[in-house]
Amino acid sequence: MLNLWYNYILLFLGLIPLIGSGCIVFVGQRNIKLIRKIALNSSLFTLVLASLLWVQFDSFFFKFQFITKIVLIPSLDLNIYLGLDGISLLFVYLTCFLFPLCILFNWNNVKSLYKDYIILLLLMESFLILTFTSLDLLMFYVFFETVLIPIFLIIGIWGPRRRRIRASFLLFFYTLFGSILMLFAILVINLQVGSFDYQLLFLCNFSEIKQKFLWLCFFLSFSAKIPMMPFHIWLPEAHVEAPTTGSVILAGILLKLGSYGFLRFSIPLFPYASVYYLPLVYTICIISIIYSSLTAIRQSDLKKVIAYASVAHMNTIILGLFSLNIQGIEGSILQMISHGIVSSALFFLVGILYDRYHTRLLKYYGGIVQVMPVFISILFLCIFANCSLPGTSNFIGELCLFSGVAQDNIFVTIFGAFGIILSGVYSLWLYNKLSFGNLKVQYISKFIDITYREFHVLLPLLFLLILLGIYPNIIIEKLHLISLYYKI
Amino acid sequence: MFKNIERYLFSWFFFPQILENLENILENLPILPELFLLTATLLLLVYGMVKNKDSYNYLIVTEFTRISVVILSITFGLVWVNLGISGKLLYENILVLDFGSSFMKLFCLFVSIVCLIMSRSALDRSRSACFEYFILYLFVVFGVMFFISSVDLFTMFLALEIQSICLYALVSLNKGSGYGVEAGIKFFVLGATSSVILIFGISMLYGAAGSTNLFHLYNIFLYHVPNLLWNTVDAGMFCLTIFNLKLILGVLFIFIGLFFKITIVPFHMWAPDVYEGAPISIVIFVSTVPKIAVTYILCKLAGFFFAHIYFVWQSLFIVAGLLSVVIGTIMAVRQFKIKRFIAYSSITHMGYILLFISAFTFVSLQYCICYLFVYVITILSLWGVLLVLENNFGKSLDSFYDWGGIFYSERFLAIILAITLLSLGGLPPFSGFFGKYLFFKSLLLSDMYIIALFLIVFSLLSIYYYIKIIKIIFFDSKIKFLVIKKKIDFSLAFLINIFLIVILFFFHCDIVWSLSEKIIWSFYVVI
Repeated sequence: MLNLWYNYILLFLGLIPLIGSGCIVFVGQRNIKLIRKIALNSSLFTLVLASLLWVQFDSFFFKFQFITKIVLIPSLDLNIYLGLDGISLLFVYLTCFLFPLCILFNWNNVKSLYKDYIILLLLMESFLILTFTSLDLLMFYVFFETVLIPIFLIIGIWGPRRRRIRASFLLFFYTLFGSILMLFAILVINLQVGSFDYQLLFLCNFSEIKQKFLWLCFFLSFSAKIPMMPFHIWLPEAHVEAPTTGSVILAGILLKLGSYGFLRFSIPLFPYASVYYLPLVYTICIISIIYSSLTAIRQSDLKKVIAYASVAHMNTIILGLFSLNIQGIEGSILQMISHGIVSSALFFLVGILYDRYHTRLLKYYGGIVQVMPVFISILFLCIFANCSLPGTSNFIGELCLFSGVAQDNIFVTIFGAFGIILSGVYSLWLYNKLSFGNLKVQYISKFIDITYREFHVLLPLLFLLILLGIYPNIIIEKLHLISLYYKI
Repeated sequence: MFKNIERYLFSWFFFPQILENLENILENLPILPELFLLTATLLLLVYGMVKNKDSYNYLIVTEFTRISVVILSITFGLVWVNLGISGKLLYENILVLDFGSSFMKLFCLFVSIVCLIMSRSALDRSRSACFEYFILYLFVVFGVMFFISSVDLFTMFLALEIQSICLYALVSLNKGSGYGVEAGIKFFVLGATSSVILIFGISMLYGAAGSTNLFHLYNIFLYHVPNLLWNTVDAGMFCLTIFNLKLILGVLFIFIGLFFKITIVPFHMWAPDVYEGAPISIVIFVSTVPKIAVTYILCKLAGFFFAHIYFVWQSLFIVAGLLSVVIGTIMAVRQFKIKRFIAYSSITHMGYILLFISAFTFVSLQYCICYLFVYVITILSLWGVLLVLENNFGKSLDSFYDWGGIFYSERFLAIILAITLLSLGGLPPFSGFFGKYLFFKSLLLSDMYIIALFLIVFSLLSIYYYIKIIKIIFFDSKIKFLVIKKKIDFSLAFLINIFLIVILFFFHCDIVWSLSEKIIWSFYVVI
């Protein structure tokens, strides 16, 4: 029995939301209560299982744990091959943690096609879990691509404005362009190794020219996902046009797919190329940090500010990853998790404003502290976490990260740390504009503070934010063994 | 009393004997399925002459659909019994009976039965069908079956002609519309030209090698390639070495004649017009069955019979394949009529198939057959969705803009349509991705890195136009249609079947894999 648990738990974890969405298919369109119940219960059940995994995970065991292997096509060497290590455990937990909150947030603010929305959300959850746990390179690609289809439909159908179609197309094709080159790279790898098994690929050496080419292919795919500088156009568009939960998942998890890909594939499989391309990565990261921070300052749309802020943060994370030492790697992973928490909390907050007043433009807001005190105090915490105030998880992450980068290159650190100052500028500016000043009664006349449900959506996020700021060891102790591997 | 005796006799006396002896009969008369199909068609012709009415008649069409489905099903069963026979040459080496050809015949029969049942309702709408439609249809299937099992170039040509001549008549069945006439004329003129090119190629090859039998040609190419390919002319002081143009042009012309049938650029001009003008039931047939047959024959010719002179035809295959991928993709982007769009997208897919063949390894041929299965089943599903939509709306949906927001009125169909389109575009996790993966793998296996890289980037464009349709279905504003009837008819049942296949293909492709391996092996078993 225990054996069965260990061997199939990951597949089970990935399939529960799928089964949930399969159940919802047979529920009538009008029966919203039952749909909600099934969706929330299945996603909560996933969270419980993920917590069990968290408890059972042995952080002193170097290999992959809970390995599931199911042979789909023996002659083509196509397997579903899942496993968990410290990194993927964190991302799986983040996924399982965010989705119940999303479903809870959408309790009654999706006006049309609620059933389809929930089905797509659950499908996305299961594909994300499978992506983060799959150890088979081809299957990783398959799930990585499949996640695109639900988010494409979510933005395209439920986006609030007409421009949503452009946004969904941008999202789809920017990410597809990169990942189609990754398919090519995967095929080239398979041609040499003859297998897609990730643990087998560890043992292989690629020639230097091949490494450079393959790394570039992977880089194009992941950097479009993160997004790094030339490929970042889709992100603000997609965030602005997406419904709230769509952008929460986009910022919270989908962007992490890119950095996860770097961590899982690019750096370990092509160590020579990652060192070779280090200057390129550093340059692109610094440009995107400073550029997107400066752009964030001059936005008029609330969501765009947060979107550009998350571009800056994600690029800081990549800076940490490529410092290739323990502090940098651990700090950037911690920063990924805390960015997942903070940016999704911010998007929830903007979504709460949008649900009430149906605008996201900054000029219609002002002096909200007088009428929505609870909202503003939560926003206060999140904004200060966003500019990494000590006591929040972002602070620990950025401290570790930059101390790692400083060991490698001091100039890069200086430029990168400039992004922290700029993040303070746009975050405080945003907070100031929203909460203080005169109440603009000429635009908005009726104010409501956040409701009980919305408060409880935000509470777990705030709790984690503070907890990881005070005691980050919960996460970091899972990472010590893994990050040793990345040290050069 | 008398009737009872008859039934008694039939059930207890004849029937078991027939069943017991069926395998014996088939062993002595291996072309029994074809003969049965021919006889039944001729009998049906006589029956139709008796029942003939000039105008369209609902009852007659229904009756004839049923009869032809029964005939095709019986043929299917007979071919199924033949499936066990492996590597048998018949009638002085003009026909071959092996697993590959039997299975391909089965596949063609299956697809033609599906087409017949699916397009039943379309016949009612166009009101152009009369009993000749079914006779011609059965004759086409007969031609296809002979074509698949032929190993002599002349048999091949004759079978192809039976098939083509009947198709000329069928394509121009829409007598009322101008598009129909245009389609018929274009298809006839270009098809006849292609046949002429084919027969010219065959005669040149005959002049060069002295035989039309493919096994003879195989042996000749195996043992005498240098002598055949270069003529050494003794010209006084010099020895001139000249290419044997007869041989090379012969081989190339044969392939070009076959390229016409599967719409390869630059021989694709008829496809969009025919797809647009011909009755939809015939379009479904034209876009699947002849392509299966011709692809199988191309695999056989290129992969086995002409394998030793690959340097003659390989570059033709690569250039034609690349051209049809590029031009098919670019032309499809601007289309807004659904049938023209499908024509161009099928040109692209046929280009992929040619490149599979030009990669020219055992595995790539096998992948080619896999890809063919996936493609045919997906395109059938697409046509099925189109037919059911037209049924429900009660009018023909020519342009994509008629599809705006059908997600809101026809949810189930829209989702199937989206899955089908994504599968055609080659996005995971659908079966089309599996096909695309095999395609790039086979290109890389034979070291065509640059072509693979080019096509992998180019496939983004083809994904773009499939995604554009999905945008129209899901995101555009609703167009109010009066949904006329919502009965679940045959076509929907088949649609669900095909839909399931599309989804499950990814998990069942081991079966396809072993099948295709067997099919390609059966080329080699004969000798």
